[in-house]
Amino acid sequence: MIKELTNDAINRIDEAIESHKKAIENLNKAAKQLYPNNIFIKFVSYDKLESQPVNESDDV
Amino acid sequence: MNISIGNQDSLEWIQLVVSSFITLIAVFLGAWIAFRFEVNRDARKDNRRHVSAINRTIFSFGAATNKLLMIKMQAIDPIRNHPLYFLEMRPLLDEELESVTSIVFDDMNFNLETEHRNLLMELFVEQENKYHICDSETAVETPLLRNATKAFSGRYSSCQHDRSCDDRGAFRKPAI
Repeated sequence: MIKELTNDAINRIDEAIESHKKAIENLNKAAKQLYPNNIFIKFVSYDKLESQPVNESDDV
Repeated sequence: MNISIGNQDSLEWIQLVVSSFITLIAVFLGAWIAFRFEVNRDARKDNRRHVSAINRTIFSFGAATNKLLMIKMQAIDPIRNHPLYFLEMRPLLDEELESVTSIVFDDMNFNLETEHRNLLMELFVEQENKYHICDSETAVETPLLRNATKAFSGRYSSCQHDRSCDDRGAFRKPAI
């Protein structure tokens, strides 16, 4: 049961990341179409914090 | 004599009509220009508001994506190939999942009047499905399970949850 839940959680996180990226992409496209002369946030990367060390105090 | 007086009267009358007409046109033009100016100002204001709402929404989703990516990189990826990954996974704090910003859908309603009507629903589904928070009864003291059930869609009942805790020998929150 724990294994199933964990697998499901992992899959959901993976799916969530992809679908979030897709949603941002769609939102950006729509925004560009609606307001072509405006500047919108464009993410180059979503994991800029990757290089930062993990805070040890967060470990439970 | 009568004719000249008649001509003079009609001339004055024509002058009066023409001057009135010019005044009317001038007033109409003034009002129309003021109206157009006001419409343009409103449009610019709406435009700024919409762009700001879009940027806030993109930022919210960017922050959520970043948070999920951090969880993936720090909690999932290091143990993905571990044979006992489901026991080795680093527990997640509630704050890691709950502090993700939310979208103000009222600000994004303008999309309903555009050709991108479906986008609003897409955003709503993204937000609701991925960050469904279960009620407090299901918040057991096993961080991993809390990760599995509390944050993502609430698909499992509290009964299943409790059984999982029993299987793992985890401390379960006493029923009140």
